[in-house]
Amino acid sequence: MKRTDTIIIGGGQAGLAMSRCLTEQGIDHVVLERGRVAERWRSERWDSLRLLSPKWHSRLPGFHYRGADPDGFMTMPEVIAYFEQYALSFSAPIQEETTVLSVKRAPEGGYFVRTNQYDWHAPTVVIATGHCDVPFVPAMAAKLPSDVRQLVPSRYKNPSQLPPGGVLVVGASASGIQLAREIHCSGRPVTLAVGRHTRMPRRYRGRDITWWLETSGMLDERADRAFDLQSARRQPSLQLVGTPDNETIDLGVLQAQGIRLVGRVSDVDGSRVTFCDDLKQNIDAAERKLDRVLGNIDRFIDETLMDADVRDRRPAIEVANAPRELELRRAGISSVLWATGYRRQYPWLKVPVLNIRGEIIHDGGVTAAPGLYALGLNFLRTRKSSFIDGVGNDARVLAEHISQRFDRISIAA
Amino acid sequence: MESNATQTPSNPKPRREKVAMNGVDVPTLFATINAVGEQPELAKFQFRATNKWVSGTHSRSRIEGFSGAGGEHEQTQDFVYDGDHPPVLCGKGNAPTPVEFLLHAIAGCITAGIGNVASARGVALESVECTVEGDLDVQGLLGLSDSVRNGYQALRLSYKIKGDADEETLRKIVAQSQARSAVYDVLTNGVPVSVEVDAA
Repeated sequence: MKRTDTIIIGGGQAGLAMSRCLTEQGIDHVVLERGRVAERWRSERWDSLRLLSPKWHSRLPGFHYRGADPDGFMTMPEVIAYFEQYALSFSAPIQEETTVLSVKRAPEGGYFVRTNQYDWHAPTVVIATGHCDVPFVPAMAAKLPSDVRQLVPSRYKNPSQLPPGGVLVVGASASGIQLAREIHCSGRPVTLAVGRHTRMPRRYRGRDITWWLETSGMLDERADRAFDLQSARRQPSLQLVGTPDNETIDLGVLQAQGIRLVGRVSDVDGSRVTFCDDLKQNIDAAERKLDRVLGNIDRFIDETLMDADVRDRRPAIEVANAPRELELRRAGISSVLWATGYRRQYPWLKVPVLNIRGEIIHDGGVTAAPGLYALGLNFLRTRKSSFIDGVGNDARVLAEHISQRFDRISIAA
Repeated sequence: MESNATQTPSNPKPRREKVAMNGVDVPTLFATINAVGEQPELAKFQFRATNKWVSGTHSRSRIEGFSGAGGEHEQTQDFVYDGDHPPVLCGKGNAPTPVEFLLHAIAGCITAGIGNVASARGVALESVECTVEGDLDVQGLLGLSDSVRNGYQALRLSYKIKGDADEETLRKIVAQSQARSAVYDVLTNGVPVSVEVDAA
């Protein structure tokens, strides 16, 4: 049994940020990583993917991008190198290739963490396994015939994996719109099923949208003041893509390129897929959200008398009548890509802190179990908690919490 | 990027704002109900206890974990409860009798429901008190009479409830809790009970 003060589970952005903050606090700790540093960025991302926000927007405690292209978008090899450099910069105590098998309360206090390498005990555990844990695929996927190829974005690398023929992409958030376009450009006709989504232009009034969201304070919106936090935490990713020429991909662009838009998938019955009659409604809802966000930016510009280009909102998206039903074989569709988001699973967590959906119950990352913390989840403390650029602030606050806890324990002793 | 503060509710009906009250996290309560509504497979729970004889009529139960919502759940702490018979019935009186735990179970269940229902209906509770009586003729369990049942002949719960609502509303809260009480249901409607024995 090895002992330390804090065990961090996960060696991604959240785990490394926490490791850096605990290092500053002088708290002995270890980062348990089931693969290598930034494993999901290595093995669960497609080849052409770049980060959705610019390189400058990747500030971590004690580290930031120093290269010559702050407004560009990191490729996956760049992201991996970035996190490797971060880990090296403070000699993060990472145990790679270490899979956590269980986390249990120890009778004497603190937690037992069993892994496939060593067993650990620590008074404090930080769960930093990330928001994009396991792909969520609706149960109806099981009803598709076996000759339809099914895929999730974390297994997709490039269009050559797909059989010839049409592709149904389900989900129109960042992954769905990017993959719809890439697959369409490979010569496979794409149908895109559009549910709740958040339309966002790459640039607005002369600057990258990230800059506006950051500077106007929208990304700092606090979880404890959110109107409906449960729903905010399930918010889909922004319809954004990072490309060298600052492209915007929205449903209008995709439609103009020949991608067929349909409503949310309502059911699957063998080769027959039915769609809700909600395409226009979903698109209109996204237009209203976009108006609110751009309105906030306009107000911010007016209030601060900031220099900005004229308003350049892209026109609202008009859609034609969408089919309510497709017979996949007859429509020549041979694969379905479920870009339907992610879900968290903690089968190894033997501490009663999960809600009925299996999500960790926490208040700003602090759970009801003494010494057990969560970090890196969507809207953990602020709207940017699950962003590379946002996790650092949360890590600082929780590291302070952990440090004060140790102060109390040592006073009590 | 949605600013929730300015979000237009998708439901045009005016909604009562769901806020935590009476120590009940009402938004999470409704989120839990919605989640189970969307995914009925989350609804299957199994509760478990183990019991060990100590000595005489004294035994000890441990309630360690349960399954539900598609997974196993640990308790927040070790829950250990002893049961015994009182000296007048030849026990050592180390703990309440098991039939007294039934009084605790039904009152605890209905009171829990009152907490939830009142909070969901926006009623702030000041106090909820219950006395429970159970009439039991021990001739049955002592084997002195076949015409007397072993268990309770009747249970009577008497609630005193105070809160910021009129009498009728408060009465309805108790009635709703009774109507949805798992323990009330199992005591009034019965449940198949099997007893297996391994005497090896």
